[in-house]
Amino acid sequence: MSAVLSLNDVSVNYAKGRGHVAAVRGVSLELAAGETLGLVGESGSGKSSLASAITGLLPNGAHVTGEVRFEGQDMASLKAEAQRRLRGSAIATIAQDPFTSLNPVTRIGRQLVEFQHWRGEGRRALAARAEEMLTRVGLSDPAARMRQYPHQLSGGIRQRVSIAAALLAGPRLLIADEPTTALDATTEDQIIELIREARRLIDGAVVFITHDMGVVRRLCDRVAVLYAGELVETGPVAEVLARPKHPYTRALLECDPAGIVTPTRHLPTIPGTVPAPSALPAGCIFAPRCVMARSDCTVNKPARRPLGPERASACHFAEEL
Amino acid sequence: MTPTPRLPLLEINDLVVRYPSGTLIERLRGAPHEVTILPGVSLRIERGETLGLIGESGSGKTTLGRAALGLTPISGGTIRIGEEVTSQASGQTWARIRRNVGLMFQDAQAALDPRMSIGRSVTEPLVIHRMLKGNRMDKAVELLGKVGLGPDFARRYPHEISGGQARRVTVARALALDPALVIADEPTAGLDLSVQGELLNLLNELQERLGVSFLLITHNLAVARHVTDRIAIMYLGRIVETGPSDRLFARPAHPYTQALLKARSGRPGEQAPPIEGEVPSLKARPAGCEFHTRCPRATDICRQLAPERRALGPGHIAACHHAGAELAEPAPAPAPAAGRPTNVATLPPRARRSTSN
Repeated sequence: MSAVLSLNDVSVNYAKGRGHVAAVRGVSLELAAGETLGLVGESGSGKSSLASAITGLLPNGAHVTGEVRFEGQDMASLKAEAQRRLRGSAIATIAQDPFTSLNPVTRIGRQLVEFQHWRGEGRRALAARAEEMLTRVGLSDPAARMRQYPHQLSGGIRQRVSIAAALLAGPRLLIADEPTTALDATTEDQIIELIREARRLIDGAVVFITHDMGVVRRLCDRVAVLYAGELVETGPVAEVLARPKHPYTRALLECDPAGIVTPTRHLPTIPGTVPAPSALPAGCIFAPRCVMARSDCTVNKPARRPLGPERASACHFAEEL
Repeated sequence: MTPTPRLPLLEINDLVVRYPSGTLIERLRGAPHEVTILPGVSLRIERGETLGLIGESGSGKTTLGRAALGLTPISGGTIRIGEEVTSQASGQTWARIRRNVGLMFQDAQAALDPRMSIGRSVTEPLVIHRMLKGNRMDKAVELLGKVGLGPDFARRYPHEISGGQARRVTVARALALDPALVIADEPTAGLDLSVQGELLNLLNELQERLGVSFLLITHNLAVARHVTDRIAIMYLGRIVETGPSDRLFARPAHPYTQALLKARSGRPGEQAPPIEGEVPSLKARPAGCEFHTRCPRATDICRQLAPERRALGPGHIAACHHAGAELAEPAPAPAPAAGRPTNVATLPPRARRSTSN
């Protein structure tokens, strides 16, 4: 299968003062059609910056180095107009917050029609398409929903509407940026099931950004773990979650209270904090917080290296894990 | 685990909260003038205990926490904290109650005044209650020290600290008056897992050291399982099930609790069908059992008759017509890890904090 998305040594730099800081450094990834990739990391790991780099929605003052290729085409070589045409048709996103991603003063129906303006069809046809999509994402009485404003909908329904909006584009790449963090447990559950089903409606690939390993387990085929702007581990979900090959991945998994069987009052943590991109440690970026760190780790930076088919880790001692 | 015969620290009896509802025109057309958020909730917390209040958004859990402090006007029922009893608003009693209760608001960054230094923010309760002795900054440094923040934080401003640090600041502020009870509204929402762990460990450690009680309002069952002694599950403003945490997680009796527990298990092979539908509107509460519209086990009686609260074991109460039958059957496995044959029911009770360190 050809790659839908391929990132080659992608870095994202933000201007700061006279210099710049690199929030994402040297990320390389490939994503095939039909695949769902989980992009995992804590806040400050650069996962949203990376997503914005893929969609070309970075703020002014940020610039991307390296290559972002969508279906083999280098995004940087495209004119702004051509890039814009890709977004909203071939590339769609589901935002984190369904409360801000929809226009509060416009009816749902009108928004869903506007999202499809590039199709060049009549209003009536677009509205019919929108209504059908609302049914597909599990909303009863779509005709009534079309006439409602976002504030009249609950969080779960709003997120369904934004998923419908994303699917209306018929995307070949869908990027979901923590679409369930603002939702309740049972609503989150429904939305995850919906996204799982939606994958079948998409003729392409999905990037699912999250910090919840439980969600990754349920939805994704492969996982990429980001730490402080760098990719530290990649691999098939089942293998990575069962046998992590980077101490950071292992620590993240151990921190998940849902994975701790015996109730405890002393929850595992990762001591220290994620280093700021302007003050990175020498050697391995995770060394200051790593329980396995040895003297070599604070001097030599480990390169990400393959460990068996489809697996890679940026740890000197990956074999010992 | 036997409770002391003393009065519980917090006792809420039949608390009713109603908000005015609808526009004038809607009311003239006969729409109800009020919407009932809490239709009569009773709850108690013992000294040194952590009670987890669990529910979806809109279930009224935040309203309950706020009403316990008089931040939301109450329409009926009584609240007793320590010696103080209050029914409907009486200013003096609220002031004395608030001196005994710390509150951590849901959004920690928003709960800090952006133009007030952290040091002033954490000591503000002392100023309001005229309990500040000595130098304000010294006191601020002492309070911040309790939550593991260095003295330099006292001079910083909210925009200069991280989300996890902001939470710690709100913990420090909640503890400023040496309260007997701290109400923590979603204290870990939006935190990364490791930071969440740090904050929960901090709350546990403070409880161990200061003997303070916690009302932990959350929708995160994974968190509640580890840090609470008892759990109360809320649905549409009613407590549908309550019991000791270990028992409730091992043998959930109410179908709603069972659905919540399954929802987050996140493990392949045991994905229960997600709970159907949306939470009904508070303006149109279902007749009979209010959960019957979403309940997989609803029968005719559920559609007609509101269920009584039934005792199912020591401290374990559920409001479900079918709850007794459920307990007669072997308990469903409470989401153990795949491949690890562990049943929470068979685990020894958690060591009390006084002996676990």
